[in-house]
Amino acid sequence: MSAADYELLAGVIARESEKKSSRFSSALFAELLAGAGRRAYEATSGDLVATRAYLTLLAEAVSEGHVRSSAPSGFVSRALLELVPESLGRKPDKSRLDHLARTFNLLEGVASEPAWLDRFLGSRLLELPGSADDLVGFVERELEPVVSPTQSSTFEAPFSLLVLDPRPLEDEFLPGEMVLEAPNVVAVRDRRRDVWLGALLLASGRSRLFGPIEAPSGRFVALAPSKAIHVGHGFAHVGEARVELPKLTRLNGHVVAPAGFVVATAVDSQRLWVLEAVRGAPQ
Amino acid sequence: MSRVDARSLVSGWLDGRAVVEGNRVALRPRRAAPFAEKLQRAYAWITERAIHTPYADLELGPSTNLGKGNGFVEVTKGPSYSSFILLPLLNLVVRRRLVFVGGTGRGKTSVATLMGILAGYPPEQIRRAIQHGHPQLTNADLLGSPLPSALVRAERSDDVHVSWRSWIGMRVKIIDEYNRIPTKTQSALLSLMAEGYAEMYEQLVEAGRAAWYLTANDDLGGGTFPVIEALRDRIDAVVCSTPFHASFLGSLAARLDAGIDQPVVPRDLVFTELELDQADTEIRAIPIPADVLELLGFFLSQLEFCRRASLRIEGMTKDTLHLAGRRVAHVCNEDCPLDKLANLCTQTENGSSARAYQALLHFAKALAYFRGQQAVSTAEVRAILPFVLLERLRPNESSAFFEREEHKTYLLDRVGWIRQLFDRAVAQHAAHRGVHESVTKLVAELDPGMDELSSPELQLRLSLIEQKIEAIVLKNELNGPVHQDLVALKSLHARCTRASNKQRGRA
Repeated sequence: MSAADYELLAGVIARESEKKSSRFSSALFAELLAGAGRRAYEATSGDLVATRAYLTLLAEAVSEGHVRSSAPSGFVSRALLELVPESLGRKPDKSRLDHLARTFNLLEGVASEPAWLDRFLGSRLLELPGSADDLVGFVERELEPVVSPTQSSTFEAPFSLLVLDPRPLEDEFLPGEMVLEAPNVVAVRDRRRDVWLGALLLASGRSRLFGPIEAPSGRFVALAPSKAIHVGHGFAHVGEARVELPKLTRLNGHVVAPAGFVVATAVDSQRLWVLEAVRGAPQ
Repeated sequence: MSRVDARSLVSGWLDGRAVVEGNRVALRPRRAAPFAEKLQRAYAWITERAIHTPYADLELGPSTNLGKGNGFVEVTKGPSYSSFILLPLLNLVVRRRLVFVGGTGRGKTSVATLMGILAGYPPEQIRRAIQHGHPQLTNADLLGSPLPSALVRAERSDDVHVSWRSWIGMRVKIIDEYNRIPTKTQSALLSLMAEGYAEMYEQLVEAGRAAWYLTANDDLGGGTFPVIEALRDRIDAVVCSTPFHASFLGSLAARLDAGIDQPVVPRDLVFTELELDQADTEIRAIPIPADVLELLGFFLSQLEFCRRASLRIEGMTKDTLHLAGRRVAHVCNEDCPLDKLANLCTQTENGSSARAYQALLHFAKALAYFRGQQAVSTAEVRAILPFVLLERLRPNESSAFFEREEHKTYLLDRVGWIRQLFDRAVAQHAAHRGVHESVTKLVAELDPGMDELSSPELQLRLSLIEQKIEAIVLKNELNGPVHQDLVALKSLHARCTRASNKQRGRA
């Protein structure tokens, strides 16, 4: 397929998508054609079948809002705009369509979940080079601690403490409002701007921040913890147990995650204090 | 996200919409979006891609005035929509009768045509089905006619086969410039709109449930023929087309450059007949809370009230005046002690009909549905009210209320006038709440189980009601809100008296 044929094909797909979907943006699609589309065309050495399939899926992703800008912002858009065009060239001709269909289905699955998941996977993708070679395996591994069944913790002692620093993700971030997104995921808003980070709470001090993420969906409703939990200036009471929170001199707020964590923030600090009930937290 | 095994979750995703078919990747259809979401998408697409409207005049939520005096601008932080697009869209689902008014070339017929396309008709078919009003339009032009050969052969009228016009059975019916249709043909149109059928040579054609869109260039003041009152009363909502705005030119130029006359409606916005039926069923199921109905009833009853129409409480309505050949202006003067700035009754020449109230409730439900609300709120009622009452409510232009400089423009801006009427009613309702609640409480206490009560108990109830009536009359000015309570108490008194008389009869 020549470059002129590529333009013709792109025009046909754009027109058809415009007729089909009210949310299709021809302006955005035109940008993608010049970037990701062109890369797929070149990577496959002008393979008509693979390029047509890729552009069709790209147009569908625009219509469905999976891709909203030519600059990738999360896992789905990064995979679709950067990883897939590159990987197409490495696949044998015969398996390209299967690879495209399988990857699109995976990405659409991620897109159907709460938005923070896309950002979480996106941040992990950047942290783990080489994960793009097997996207399905990557998603399965990274989802495991997030979605696996988690029993509500009984918040029994002993407790361990971890302090998280948001500055590597957002230099100016000052933690404010906190919203539970899942039993072990908390969305944290910057006190001064509408910027949110996610906190994935994992056992054995492996909790970490990711993001920025979109404003939380607010769909997760947690049951009250089995023990009375009170957080004050520099300490937390979990049932009868008292745990020190060093350097947290002026409490700003806290949230209790049913997976066995208490996350607290201070008025005068950028850090987040994560108190973990060692028994019963997700591995 | 439910808590499941990650491997099973991913495996479920992989069995998604994209499948390889031959040398292509095909996409199976997505699960259909809920109808409310589809309506929202349609609204967004029309306003962004098809019809440019310079403002969103249908506002919900509290507003703030910026600036002072006559130069203020009202802004809201709540959602706002263009009535010129949203109401026709809601009408497509509730399938009522809507009129567009406004100057030539303002997009009235274009919006109506778009609604036909959203209902699943090809653009050519919907354009052919538009009935263009003109002074020579006959019943045969509008409805159809028998073939001349059939007329010659027929021995009885039911032998005549009428070839009905195809537009009659369509789910979207568009009548362009309906106020240019001659009176006789308007009557045929009325029968079709009101009764849902047309008759010719003793043969009937059913119109079916349809969304009607009528257009008029100058509905309030002109048209070639005056619109017959009964036809006017069948109109459920009136929307004004939006004026020209300088920002239009850019998009018109862009369309010209691209050689696009009218954008193609995307397939995902087209509603099937079944979808429209289901959406309407869902709309009808949206509840209207009692407090919203109560406030609306309070407002509407004041429009009907005229203290000077009669000395009898039942006769104190504007209908009494009209039946006597009088107008509100004849009696609404300094002889009436009510404050013309505070009481709403002075502002209107008439109330409205039950048909209008039904349309109002139906559109308010549709708006709540469109917004994803679980129930109708006062905000939806306030937003819809002007468009339903615009043609029906006539101002009493002689009222002292309109003599005030700041109120004079209400005679020109009917939408603004009706909104302020409702806002004043809300304030008055709050002020009158104490009296009204005491009456409501009394009615709730005394009304039930009257037929089972003994004669002394009924006498006791009667005396309580009479005391209450006397107390209200003595302590309050007899205005619209008080009149409403007195009518309720008098009705309760009548029921109690009937029960008491029945008891005596038995004894």
